[in-house]
Amino acid sequence: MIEFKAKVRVIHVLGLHARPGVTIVKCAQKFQPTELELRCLSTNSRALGHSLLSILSLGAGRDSEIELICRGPRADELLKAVRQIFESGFADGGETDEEEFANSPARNSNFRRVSGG
Amino acid sequence: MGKLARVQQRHPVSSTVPESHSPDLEWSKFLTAQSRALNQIEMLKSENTADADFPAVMDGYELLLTDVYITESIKHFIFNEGMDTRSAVSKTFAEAGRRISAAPHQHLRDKTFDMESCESFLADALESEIFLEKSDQLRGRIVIVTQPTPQDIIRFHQSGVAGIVAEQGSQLSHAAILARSFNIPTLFSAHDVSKAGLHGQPAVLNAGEATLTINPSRTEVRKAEARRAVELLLNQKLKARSTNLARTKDGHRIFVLANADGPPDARSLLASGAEGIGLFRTEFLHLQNSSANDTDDSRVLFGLLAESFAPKWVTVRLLDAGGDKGYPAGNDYAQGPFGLRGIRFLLAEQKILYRQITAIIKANKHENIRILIPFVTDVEEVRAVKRITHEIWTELTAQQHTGIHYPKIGAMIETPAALFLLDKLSRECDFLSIGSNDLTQHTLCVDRTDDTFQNKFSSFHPAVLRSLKLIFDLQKNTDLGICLCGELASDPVATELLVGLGCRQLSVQPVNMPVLKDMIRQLDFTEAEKLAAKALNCDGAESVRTLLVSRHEELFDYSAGNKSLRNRAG
Repeated sequence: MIEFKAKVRVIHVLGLHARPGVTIVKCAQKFQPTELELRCLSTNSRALGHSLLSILSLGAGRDSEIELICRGPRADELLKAVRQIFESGFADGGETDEEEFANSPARNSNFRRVSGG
Repeated sequence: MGKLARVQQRHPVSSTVPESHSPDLEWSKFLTAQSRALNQIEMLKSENTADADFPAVMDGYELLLTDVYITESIKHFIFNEGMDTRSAVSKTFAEAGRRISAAPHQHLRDKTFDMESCESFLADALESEIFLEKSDQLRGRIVIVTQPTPQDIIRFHQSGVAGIVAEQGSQLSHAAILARSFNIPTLFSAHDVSKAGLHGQPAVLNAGEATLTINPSRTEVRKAEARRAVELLLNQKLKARSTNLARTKDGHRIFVLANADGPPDARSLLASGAEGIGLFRTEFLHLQNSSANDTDDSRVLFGLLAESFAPKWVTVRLLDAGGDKGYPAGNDYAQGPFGLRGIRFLLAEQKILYRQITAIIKANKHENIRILIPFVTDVEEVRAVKRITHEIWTELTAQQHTGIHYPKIGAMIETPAALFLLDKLSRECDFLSIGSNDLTQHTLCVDRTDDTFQNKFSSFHPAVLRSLKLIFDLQKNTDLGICLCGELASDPVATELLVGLGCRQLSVQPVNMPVLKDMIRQLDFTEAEKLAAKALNCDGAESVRTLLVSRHEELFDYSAGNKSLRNRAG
């Protein structure tokens, strides 16, 4: 099986956090059963592209180098799409500003506030 | 506002037997819960389109609920470790949470994404209802019940529910009024609400407008929060005034004492305004844990309580075994409402009686502990306890125990026999207590534990009220203290009636104390006497109930946003 590999760098100030994690998993799911593996070279840890839990456990902070490995049909297309996500600096949500991100937990707590009574 | 919780009032008998573990069944439970949780998230997403970040968070939860590591871990715990679904889910999410927080770079932990919220979707989907027995899970929840009894309401109040939605029962029912007295938002006659499968969904209950909003928007939640803040402020003011004395508008002082069940928290009882302990039940010392019935343990417990409360009374009821309470281990007597109950059991098994009285006398260093004899049907029973007390006292003083005092001794009036012996018992005793539950049960010949007759069990029955009147009338010629214990005393609907009947001491559940004291302060004794006269002449329990309920509605309105309450509190 042919592998497609690429190295990318995490530009975002918050590192590879939950929101881009969701974007990556959703992207990888579109290409299933093609596999995506992420290796964080700075923490020496691996993650499966279709497991958000494993991506969040990578601990990939700002400037970490990540190797992307894709295997399976249309692996090249998947690699390109995921590279795109990294190279855009996770900007597709339109929020890269540190201050704005720092505020976001409070703004997102709608659900928890309801459930908390 | 809070998450909805469907509450099953009666626990099915079968579930007390542990089910045998079936991994396949547990796994299928998980799969069902997973798809229910995913559906619910989908629904939340479609209903919260205004918030741009919200769908992203929900997407994340969806991905975690289907995450291969999470599902494999749950599978592992179920199939290899023999866990039930709920434990497997808890353990998996706990480990997942640790795994994420163990990752380097603290800031990666996006707070919008908490594993607990994610897990709660699964946990809620796993249960379609909560049993009333698990009332500790109800804090902050809006409970959905079929038709709550007043006792259920008291339990809900104690477990801190955020609201009550009842399918059946009128807004003017006893249970509804009780709930409003506790300032719990309610919605009664909400037909078919339990069939809608709303368990676990967030909701806002507006009692003033009688609406229940499922999956409320942020604006609705904010408005509800503001309303609730005003209500909580009222509650706090009520509590803050609870340490003041309770006097009717025309100056009649009513003493409000506390009932205590387990090892009581004296400080919080005193802070909530208890003017003594009117009934300290000792069953927990003897019926649940046989190692705890040591004389020294009891002595220390009574002593600490008496010290905190001195000079206020601490009334220790001797072990009331039998009836629905059972017997200490090793005593094999037939159970039932009659038979070897209360003092009859203690006189048959005198060891416990000697131990209890010894502990009480040794602990009575502040002269404020009283002995209360349960289930008296004979003057001779009181005399026997007095003889034994004297015997122990003589022995203890001969052993040179100093600084201890002779305790006061009183009888429970809870049987027709005791009622007809009132004149003799009042001469034998230093004080009397009324147990309204047993008095009702034995006056009406209705077994309280028998469900088929539940509608016949009512302390509002004129026969019970007339018995109470007879007892309270004793106070006219003597200075005998008579304290009313039992559920009737804690019932806000009955308060004015009881005051009118001549009751001067109530021993109540601690949670009810603030509201009862507040109500007493708004009563007029002459008016209360008129109400009592009317009730005594009613034909049956139901007409008394109707009379009291309409009177209560007229006098008090503790419902949310009520103007008069706001003015009084402000």
